[in-house]
Amino acid sequence: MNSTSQPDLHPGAESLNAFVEQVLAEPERERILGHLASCSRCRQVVYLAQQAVSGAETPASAATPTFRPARLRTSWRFVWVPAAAMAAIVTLAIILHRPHPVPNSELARVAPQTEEAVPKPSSQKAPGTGTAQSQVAANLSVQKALSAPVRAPARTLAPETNPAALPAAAGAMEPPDAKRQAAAMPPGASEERLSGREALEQFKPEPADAAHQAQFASGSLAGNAPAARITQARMKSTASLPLASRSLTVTASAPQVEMKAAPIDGVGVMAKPSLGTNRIPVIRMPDTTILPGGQIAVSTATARKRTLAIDPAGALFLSEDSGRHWESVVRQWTGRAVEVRVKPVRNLPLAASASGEAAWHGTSQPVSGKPAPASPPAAVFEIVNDSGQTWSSADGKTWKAN
Amino acid sequence: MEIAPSQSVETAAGAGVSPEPDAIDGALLEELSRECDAAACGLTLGEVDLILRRAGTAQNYGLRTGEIASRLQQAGFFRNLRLADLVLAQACAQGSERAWERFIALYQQPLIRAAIAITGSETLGRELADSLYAELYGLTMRDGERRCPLDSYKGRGSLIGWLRTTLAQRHVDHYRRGRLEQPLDDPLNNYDPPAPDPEPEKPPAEIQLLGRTIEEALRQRPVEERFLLASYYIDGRTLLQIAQLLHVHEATVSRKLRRVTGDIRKRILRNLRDSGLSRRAAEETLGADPRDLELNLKKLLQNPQSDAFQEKAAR
Repeated sequence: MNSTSQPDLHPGAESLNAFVEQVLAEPERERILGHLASCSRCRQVVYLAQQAVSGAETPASAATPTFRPARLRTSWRFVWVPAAAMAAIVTLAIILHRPHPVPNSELARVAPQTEEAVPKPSSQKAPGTGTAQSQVAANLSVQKALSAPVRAPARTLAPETNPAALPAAAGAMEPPDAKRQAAAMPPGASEERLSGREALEQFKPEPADAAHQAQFASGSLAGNAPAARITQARMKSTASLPLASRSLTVTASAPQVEMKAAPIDGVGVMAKPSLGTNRIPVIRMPDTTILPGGQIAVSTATARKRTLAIDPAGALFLSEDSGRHWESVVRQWTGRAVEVRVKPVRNLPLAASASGEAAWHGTSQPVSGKPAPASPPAAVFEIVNDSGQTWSSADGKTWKAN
Repeated sequence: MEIAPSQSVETAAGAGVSPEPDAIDGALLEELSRECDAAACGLTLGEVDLILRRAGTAQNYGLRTGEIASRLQQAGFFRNLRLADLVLAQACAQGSERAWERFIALYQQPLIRAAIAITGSETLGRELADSLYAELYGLTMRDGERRCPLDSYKGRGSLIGWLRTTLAQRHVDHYRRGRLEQPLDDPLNNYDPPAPDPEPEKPPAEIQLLGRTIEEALRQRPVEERFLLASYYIDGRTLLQIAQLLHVHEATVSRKLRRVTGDIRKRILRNLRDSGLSRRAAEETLGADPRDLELNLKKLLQNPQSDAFQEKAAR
């Protein structure tokens, strides 16, 4: 036990170096360790010596880089093993979360084509995605599906051929376990991600003027394949949403649409149906609005807090709490209602504009004596039946033929 | 008469055998000399024999004191040494020019790099390395003799490791010496010391009990655990530094630390309950403000049970 600095008080460099290099016998190692536990000076020495090892070796190894294939293979092995494990986990997750086939013959015809129409899933998935991110991804996916290019098989599912079949199919596609589906994203949505710019482009605000609406309706949606494609994609996203997550989906995706769509005098337009007069209009489903009885709205319109929705059978429902509760509206029109929309009322007299109720009705005649809101929107609801006739209403309950 | 391996000195002496080891077997010596490249250091076979025998005798060939090594044990002992480093260091200590040339060629740059890594500064590192060179070269005289630190190298670890540790020792000693010294014109030394604080109040009985219990619990820990606690909590070393020193994984160090602290806590709680406190009272006492404790953990951890090196100092 020699020491050149403080003889006999501390172990010498020989012993400390032997300890650092792990060449001491166990009894002597215990003695050195015992001393190190109690001597901060010797602990400092061994840690500095250890630091010098790494400090002195780093430049030397950096100066002479050598290619060692065996080492490389060893390091690659540590990459491949987790990669294989990750691939196995992803595969298992896909298998487990794939929707189970339902014994509905109609669905059996619809489902495969729906799968085909959905964009191919991307294999890249960021690790550690949370629930909120998944929800956003799901919304983006649905929106992307809405604007995806048309494929030939989608034509076979054109909703105008059998629009009533879609809600039935959607109801049949609902998985039995709502919680499991709520945890997992829709198949198309979970695997399709959009970049922020792409998503913004798809959420481009659409012009509110009538000409553009007409172009929108007749050019791309008037009873042709894009409409079918869009409806189909919506059906898919709707069908995979469980009961438990319906309200979540509605509240999560609806504000995006309302924010991006150009409001007309404060009225958010959720539906942009075609306005063809001599044929059955193609209904663009506005959102995944679920009506009482589990049916999906084929057309909805919102003005302020009132939302009107038409189910596939033509029944009209009114909600005054953003779609949480619905009440049926007494039928006051002929035929089958196929569309509901909000019609802006322009060039109102100054007095009528100031009077909220009058503006709400679109006329200068208020229907009730109740005090009006401060600045109500100048718009009325309008429904269209299957013959193209229209009825209008200010409150959504009382309808008058135009 | 053949001496059995690990035969005691008394037995060997009683059998009429000298306890001094004989000269190393010629064939073995030649083989060892070839292995350590003694010719490159300008050493003859006789000088190599002398160096090896001195190293063997100093460590009793790795055996316990009083035992005599057989030739087989001697050969095994030499083969476990860093013979090339040992012969080079001893040749340098004896002042062989060729050995010094070889030493400088092999270790000059690594020594400077190590010194820079230790001091964290190129200037200080070069200064430290130069001072060690001067010391190694034997410029220090004691009792009229050249004193070369390389004499103390026994070949158990590598020579570069020994050099690094010696550099670290010099640096730490220099640093600690510098901290103890204070300039005389330091204004801080000229101020009037404040009046001593009034006699501190005696802490409550529970706090005293807690202090004693912690002290007892820490003293009973094994040396390795105390080393871990001291390194981590007193020196502030990282898990990586501790792991590199002990040649284990960081996770092992982390796991051991967690286990040790958990065990100490349990031990303290048990000791408190053995002292008559209820479980709830023991836990409340353990949750006392550490500032109320008159406990110097640094001193506590640095107060070893078995002072091996203190014993040697006393001798």
